Amino acid sequence: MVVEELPLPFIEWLVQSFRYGLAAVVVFLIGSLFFGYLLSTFRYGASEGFYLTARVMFRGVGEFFQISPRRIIAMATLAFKEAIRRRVLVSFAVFIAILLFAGWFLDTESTQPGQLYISFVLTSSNFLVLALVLLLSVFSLPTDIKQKTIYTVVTKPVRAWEVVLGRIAGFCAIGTLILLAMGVFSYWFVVRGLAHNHVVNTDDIRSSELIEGGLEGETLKNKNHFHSFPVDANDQSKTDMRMGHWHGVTRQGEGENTSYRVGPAQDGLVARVPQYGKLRFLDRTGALAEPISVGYEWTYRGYFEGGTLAAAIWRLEGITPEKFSDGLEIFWSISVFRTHKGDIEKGVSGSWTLAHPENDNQSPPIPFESKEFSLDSLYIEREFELATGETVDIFKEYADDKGRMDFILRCDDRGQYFGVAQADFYQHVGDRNFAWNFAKGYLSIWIQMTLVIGMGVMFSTFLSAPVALLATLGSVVMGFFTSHVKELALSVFNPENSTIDGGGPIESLIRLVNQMNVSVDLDLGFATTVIQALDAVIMAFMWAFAVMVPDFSRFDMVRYVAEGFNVPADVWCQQLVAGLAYSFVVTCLGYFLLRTREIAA
Amino acid sequence: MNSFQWKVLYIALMAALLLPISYISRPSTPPRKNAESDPGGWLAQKRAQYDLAQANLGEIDPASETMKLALLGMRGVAANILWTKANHYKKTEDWPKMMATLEQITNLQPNFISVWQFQGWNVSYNVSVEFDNYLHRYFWVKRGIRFLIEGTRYNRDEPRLLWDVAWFFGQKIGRADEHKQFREEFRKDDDFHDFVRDYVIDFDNRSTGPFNKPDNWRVSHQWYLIAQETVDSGRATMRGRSLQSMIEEKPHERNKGKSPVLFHSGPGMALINYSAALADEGIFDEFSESAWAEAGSVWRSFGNREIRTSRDFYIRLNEQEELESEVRELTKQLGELQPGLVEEIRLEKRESLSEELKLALETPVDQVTEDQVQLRVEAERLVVVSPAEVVERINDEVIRSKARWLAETINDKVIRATFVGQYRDIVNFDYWRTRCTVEQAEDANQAKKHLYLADNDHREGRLLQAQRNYEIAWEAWANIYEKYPQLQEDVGTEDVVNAVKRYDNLLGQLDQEFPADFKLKRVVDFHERGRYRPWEETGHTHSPDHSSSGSEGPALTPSLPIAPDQGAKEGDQQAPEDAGNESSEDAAAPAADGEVDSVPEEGIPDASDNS
Repeated sequence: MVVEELPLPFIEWLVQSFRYGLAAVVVFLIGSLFFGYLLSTFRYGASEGFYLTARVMFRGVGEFFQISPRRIIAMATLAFKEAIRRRVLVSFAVFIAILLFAGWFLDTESTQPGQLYISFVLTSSNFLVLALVLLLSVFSLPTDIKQKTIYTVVTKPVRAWEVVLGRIAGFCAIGTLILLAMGVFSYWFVVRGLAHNHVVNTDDIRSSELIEGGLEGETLKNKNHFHSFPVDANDQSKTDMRMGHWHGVTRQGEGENTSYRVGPAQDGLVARVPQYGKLRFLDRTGALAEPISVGYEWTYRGYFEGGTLAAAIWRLEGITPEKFSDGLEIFWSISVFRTHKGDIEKGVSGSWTLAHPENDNQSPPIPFESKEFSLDSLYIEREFELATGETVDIFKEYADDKGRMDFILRCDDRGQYFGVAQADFYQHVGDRNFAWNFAKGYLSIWIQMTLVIGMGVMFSTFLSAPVALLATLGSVVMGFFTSHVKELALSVFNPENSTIDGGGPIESLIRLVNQMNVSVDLDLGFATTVIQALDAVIMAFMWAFAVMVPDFSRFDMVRYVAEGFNVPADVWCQQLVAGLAYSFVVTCLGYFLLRTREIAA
Repeated sequence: MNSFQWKVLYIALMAALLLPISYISRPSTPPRKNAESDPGGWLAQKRAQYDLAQANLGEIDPASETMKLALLGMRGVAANILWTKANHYKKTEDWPKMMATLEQITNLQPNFISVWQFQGWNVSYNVSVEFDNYLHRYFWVKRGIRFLIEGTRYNRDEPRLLWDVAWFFGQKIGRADEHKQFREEFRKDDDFHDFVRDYVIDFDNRSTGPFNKPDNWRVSHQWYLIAQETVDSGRATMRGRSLQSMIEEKPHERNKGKSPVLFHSGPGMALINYSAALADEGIFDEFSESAWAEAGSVWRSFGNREIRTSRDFYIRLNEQEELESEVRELTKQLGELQPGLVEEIRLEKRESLSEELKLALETPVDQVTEDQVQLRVEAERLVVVSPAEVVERINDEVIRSKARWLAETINDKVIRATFVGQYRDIVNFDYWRTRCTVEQAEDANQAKKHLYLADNDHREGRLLQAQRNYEIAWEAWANIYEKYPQLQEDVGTEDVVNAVKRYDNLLGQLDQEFPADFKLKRVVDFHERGRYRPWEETGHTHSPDHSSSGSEGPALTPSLPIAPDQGAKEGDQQAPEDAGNESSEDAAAPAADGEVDSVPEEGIPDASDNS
């Protein structure tokens, strides 16, 4: 799996984020108060405005502590009923329809059908639910206000906090229910969709020189693939890995009555728990160095030369006999870059060496042949025999007291290169339950959903429904592209070191109309200066907006689930806390804006 | 006006707009009892005229139609986003997602031929090479081909796609670095055969090669035939099907798209490549000879095919010799109308040359100085007597009229012959024609077979047997060069020279002298320019084993070295081996795609005044 940046441990992240979050909240509150004061001043004059703002602020804080869960539940029930009245369940029906016809759109020949199915259901649920709660949350309050039904509520002893929180809670409840139902159906869809079996025709058992025991079997084709499996002395064997899974094969009967029974697909839906290490590279002289670029545009992987002292070394921590009593199971995936053809029919040779981080103890190299774009694995027994006949315990010999161990990857063919990234190698700690991992995928959708509801309700407290819809939609869209917008803004502010060509919105428009290449300078003399200055102003606003809205692309656990990795607790806890913090801020804002509206009324 | 009135006005305007729309998009109705047929509105008529209705283009895919409708006219935007995503996934090497995205793009734009072509190429050529394992590479090459074939389902009778499928089957499987492995994989790929069987008529008989298994070149040949058939039957032009009628309306558009000569050379080249591949794989004798015979026959048929030129007249590649002989005959007749006139004009022209040019022309060829070379060429050009000049000088009105007719005929035929020559050069027509003939000869079979066996024996340590095979091969090669001496100068002969070096090395291993009466001395001398003459040195150091320097052992049987046609211009002497492959065809393509309008004057009487 591609992991550009390994997640920070939750506590470390919390400490770092807390400072940033606190600063952001303070700036935001001061800004909001100032904005509220300005608005009030504009309407009621300076002193009256100040008085009203102060009153709202203090009352707001006071009211916050007087919130009644009972009233919130009552308000939430109202919102829930309203949502049902608005036929939100139709979206669920749409989802079911999508699942029914998904077979038309999904690539049946995909080499990773599991990934495709999981990404498909999670992505479609995500967009459907976000669209649903977006519409639901922005139309509710404005309609009530417009139809004056809000008076039936506000004339009761209900506080503005409860109005805002109640709505958010109600919509969250209905959204959660729909998500739950979608999750159950999606799980069923994925499991059923991938379940398959193969039949073995005994005529397809043939001799093979490559296999101990001499025979190799082949299953019949099903779901666009077949498997090969060795037939040896054992009655139980495993097929090869194809399309991300394998099957168990059991031999039954003897002689002419021999038949083979293929079990269900294994490892197609897993939640592996990896333990990553820290990666460093050695150059051809064996000195620490930056990896080589072989010219790929994507610089995720670094390359090192084969047949020299160059190597990639991962240092893993916590490799203790208590955790891995039998041995180590390492997984890796490497990219190969050949500078000469070599033997076309063979992969490039490489080797693994275990090394002590502090002394010169190194295991004999364990050779392997490269397999590109697929996960390769190796089980290293805890004790193994050296060429000298001596038996060594890997934990005693190659790990230090803190459980640190180095894993050295070398490419053995001269002139060929291996390319690796930090997350391309890991120690397999174990597997978690796939269903629970799948649920975590839905948790990320749930967090996004609460954010959208919060923003929708917040905008609808002071904007008319269509405008609130646009504002929320704009925020969500911006939320998916915050990093890009920030990068673009920096490029516009500092054209000398720009990473994105083409300039800001006005410059881009001119380029589009004139069909100008982005790499050509906009040569309009003084006009260029004016255009770029205007672009900088526009981008400053965009940048501010991008900083304020939550980065939706970070609330993404789909990749983990689809690629068969357990979503680490660090990741989902971070997302949950960040999501709830944003929701809290948005709720506060909603409260004050609603109060402002009351003041205005 | 108040708001209500505005609303009424808007609705009235909308209704008014509906009227012309419904009028022009009225559907057509077929003839029925008691009722005449109705061609429908303007849109329906145009749809019928250009065969643009979805059902006429190819299969209708419900998923595709649903997606198009669901996007409410935002198809273009969606397609753009998907293209960007596909590029991103390619960059980040996320192949399953890239393929899924390509599927979505083709769902959105099933009749946009370039999408199929571009992405099919992308998968077969660009994605496949990202994989290190050749089996994975074969898988992706196959996926690209399957993708293209899918495209032909949604775009029935689309020659551009059909031709590309043929090209991929042939060139990508048969000419890649891993062609040995790819061809072998293809042979045993029953699943893929099952898939292709649905598209190719009588797949099991017409597409099989050695071992009675499907051969990629023969399958390629079948697809070329399918592409050709769509054009020959008039269902499509080489430019494509959907725009056919529009092109007919715009003659200047006709020459766009693939050159007819390249398009129609496909089937012949596929069979030639098939025959050549057999020799590489050690398949000789009757099987190989009959393959070359079939290839030769298809190549001759290609030469007889009428091909439209960029000047909108038709030529046949086989007619050049006939045209040249006719021109000679007619020129002779023209000269006889007033005996001595041609010589008289030539002398006058010669006299009118400057002293410098005259001197260059009169100097014997072997004494021409470096400065005079250009001058001599110029002088020779200036003294050529054109038929028009002859016509002008004839005073008798009756004879002059006859001369004018002759001059015009000569001019026409010269232009034709020039075009035929140029079009022949594009596909290296003469070279392949000669090669098909030579390869069927017993000597060629012997030469290649024994060289192949010798290399194998040498590699496997059967040195004496290898020596015997080499010597039989040299005998056969010597016979070939005797019959076709022009072959000695061909670049393809380098393979033979390399084999001689391996033989030299073998003799070293056997501790024997290189034979002084070696029969291929001239060939080796020509290519090595005298730097390597093992027969002259007694006790010389034997050539290093070139075969062992490469990882794959001795090169396989060399192809027969035959020079391109003698009439080919300088610069056309590209490696004949490549004449049918990507590089040479691609290089030739611009000439064929563009205008081939200029008619060289060299060696041909100038008749432009008479046109």
